[in-house]
Amino acid sequence: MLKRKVQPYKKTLDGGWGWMVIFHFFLVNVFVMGMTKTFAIFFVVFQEEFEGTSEQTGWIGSIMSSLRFFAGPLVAVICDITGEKTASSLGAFLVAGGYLISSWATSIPFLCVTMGFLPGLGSAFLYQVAAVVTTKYFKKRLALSTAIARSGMGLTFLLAPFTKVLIDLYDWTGALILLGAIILHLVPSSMLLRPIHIKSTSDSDIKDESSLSPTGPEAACGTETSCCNEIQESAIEDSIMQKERRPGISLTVSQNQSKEFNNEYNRNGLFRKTNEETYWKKTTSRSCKQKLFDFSLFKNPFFYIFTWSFVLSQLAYFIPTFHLVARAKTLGINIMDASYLVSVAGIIETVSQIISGWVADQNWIKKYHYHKSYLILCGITNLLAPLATTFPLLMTYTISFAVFSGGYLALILPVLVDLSGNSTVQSFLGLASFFAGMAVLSGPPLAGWLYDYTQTYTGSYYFSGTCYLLSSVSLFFIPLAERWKNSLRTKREDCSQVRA
Amino acid sequence: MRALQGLRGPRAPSLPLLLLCFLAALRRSLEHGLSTAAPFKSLPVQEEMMTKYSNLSLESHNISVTAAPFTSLPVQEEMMTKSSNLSLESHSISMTEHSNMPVEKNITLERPSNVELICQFTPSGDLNSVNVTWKKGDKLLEGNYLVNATGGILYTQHRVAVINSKQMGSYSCFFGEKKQQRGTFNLKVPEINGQNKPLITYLGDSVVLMCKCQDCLPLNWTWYGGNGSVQVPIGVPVNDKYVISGKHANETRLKITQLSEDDQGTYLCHAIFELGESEGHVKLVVLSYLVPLKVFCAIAAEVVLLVAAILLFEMYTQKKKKPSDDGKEFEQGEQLKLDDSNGIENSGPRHRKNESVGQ
Repeated sequence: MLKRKVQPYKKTLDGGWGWMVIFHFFLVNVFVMGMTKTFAIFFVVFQEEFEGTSEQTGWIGSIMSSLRFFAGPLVAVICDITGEKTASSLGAFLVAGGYLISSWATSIPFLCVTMGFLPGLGSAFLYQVAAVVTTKYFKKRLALSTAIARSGMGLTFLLAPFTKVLIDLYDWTGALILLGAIILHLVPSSMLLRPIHIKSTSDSDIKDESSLSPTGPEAACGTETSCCNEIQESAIEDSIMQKERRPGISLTVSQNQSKEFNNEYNRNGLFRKTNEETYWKKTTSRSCKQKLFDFSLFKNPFFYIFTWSFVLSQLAYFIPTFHLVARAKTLGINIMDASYLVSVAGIIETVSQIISGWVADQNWIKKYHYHKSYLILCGITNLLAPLATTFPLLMTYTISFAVFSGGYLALILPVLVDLSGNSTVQSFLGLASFFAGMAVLSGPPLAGWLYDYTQTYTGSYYFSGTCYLLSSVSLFFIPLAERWKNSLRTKREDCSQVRA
Repeated sequence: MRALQGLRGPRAPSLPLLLLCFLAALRRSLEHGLSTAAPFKSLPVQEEMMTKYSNLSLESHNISVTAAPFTSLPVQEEMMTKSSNLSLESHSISMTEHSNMPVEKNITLERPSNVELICQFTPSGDLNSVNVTWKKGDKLLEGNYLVNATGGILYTQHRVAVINSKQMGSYSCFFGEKKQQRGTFNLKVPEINGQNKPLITYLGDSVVLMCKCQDCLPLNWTWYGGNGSVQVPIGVPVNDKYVISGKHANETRLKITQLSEDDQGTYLCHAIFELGESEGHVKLVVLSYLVPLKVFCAIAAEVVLLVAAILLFEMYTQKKKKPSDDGKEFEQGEQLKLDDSNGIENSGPRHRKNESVGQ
């Protein structure tokens, strides 16, 4: 059933209404990251008010940040059922509701649920849906637009003093209520996420160098409907022999278009199968409802490559940022200079993200090469970090780390899009986030344990450096995986040809 | 001695007279002894003081920049043994002739004790011509202080037996007459830390006000609620509303339940020491729930407005597109037809497709 009005476009917008989507993604970044950062202020307040240990109170923050990743698959499922706009609004309500209920908190476990679980879940919804819709609206300028949206994280430094002012004026209960109200603004901004259908013409130049995995017969299904590989495969296999070399269904289509394109493609295929009563959506939706969760991802080597890299880089990212100020203190640098370091790092990271996004979009080489090199450089920088013992050296380290980490952060989403191949970006990102959630959950305690064990911060830097280098290793296997996929496809094509 | 000899002349040596003469001589030598460094003469007086205040702790404040020892050291030792159960606190200030800033030192006293204040002065000229005086506040102190000059540095030591708040205050040592160099010791009771930022609470809530003292143990704590200039002691009629407690001796907590508007204001916590009183401030602000709720409603209303605006905009654009929408859909079908019929053609499915698209 067509709930939404579809606006057929001839190709991905790469602009136009897409900028409104980017605006929404920007706001999501500001608030979601801001939540994590302002939590540090509430941490102190809650500890005093409820007289809990810092470990107990820290759980609230851990639940909030890790649930943002763990709820990935759930978001994918719900998004398929209800659509993006609703899912995003639901997320905004969850976060705002969580904050509002927290103002009546009476104990730390209460807060774990209302301020950890609910906002975490909500932010997962918000973030993932926004990311996926961005990939639908942008193809050529995906990296740049993502980087611009992520620059919202740089604005979060404003939220911390603002929260302090709120607490001074209204005490933490009033501050929570008001923060909930402010986050409600994400509801109208998620209404900006208009659904989009991309329809490709027969001779549109859809050969994209950034695409890696041929999407051919195993292509994923549509945007708004659920992901149903099996059905498509069976449907398309029959029709593939009839439509072998149709330019309109060029097999080198890039990912963003492929979904929409294959919608039409399926339509054709199914009609060709001469089932009149099956209006294509009905078919796909009926059979797709039985298959909400896309398990075919586990057969996809690209999934493993991406998840390995994603998890390790997330694990490695937290540790230097966590320990920067503490390390500066042990080196004898005072707090003012240390916070100066942090703000410099934030600004340079934002700028570097935008530059890296722009460079990647130029498509001089495939995006994952950039990603790989940034990860390796991050690793080397972190391994050299223990050499920084004075303020200028520490500043150099901070700047270089910010440049390289900004570089790879901007490219996560584009590389994911390139690698996601057969499945929808939604389920791919969801499942990858699930595994990344484990890294996020274990990151801070691991860092703390490392410090307690080695009594210096150099251990954590070595660990972080090795994690980065390891995360880049999997990306070297992409050409191998590509070749394997190609061979699979040709095998299947041969099979179907033989059958025909 | 000469006086005595003179008295022997007339040959009427009555005992009281002898005693008187003896006492006079003693006094003279005593005065003389005090201004010079003759220790023995001044001992009896000080010993008397010591025995009187033997239950006090002896605080001796020593600041010696150079290593020139006191010639009065044996005296000190004796005094120490006499008052060995007392804690001796020693503080000192040093200054030169050309120091422009008045030198000050703050001393925090909690319990009654003996305090030894030592001033050290390096004159440029002659040592002996420098006049040394001690003052408490503006009052000149007489007696009870030692002056010693060794190695070109002038030391003066003043002992104070602090037993109650009367002995607290500021003590100053002055060197010289024309150009006086001054060193000040401020004897104070420990400070109490209240809370700097006002505490924000809501009606009907309960709040805990806390006053803390860093390293001290007051004898008693009292709370006062100040509305303006009137200070009313709290907790005197014991009721449920105010509960005074404290986990450790160096802190006090006042728990107020059932807050109302009247409970707003500044609360004072008094710490009573043997040597005086000290107080801290805690400011309490009581708001009603409506205050943040109003702001919340304002923001929520704004959000609802935005949502309504976006919905209206969407409906408007859809209405505009609606007449052309059907056309576009058919166009879609046509396009698909074209796509489809690039290679193998089949008129059958096309018809069917049209029908289904038209649905």
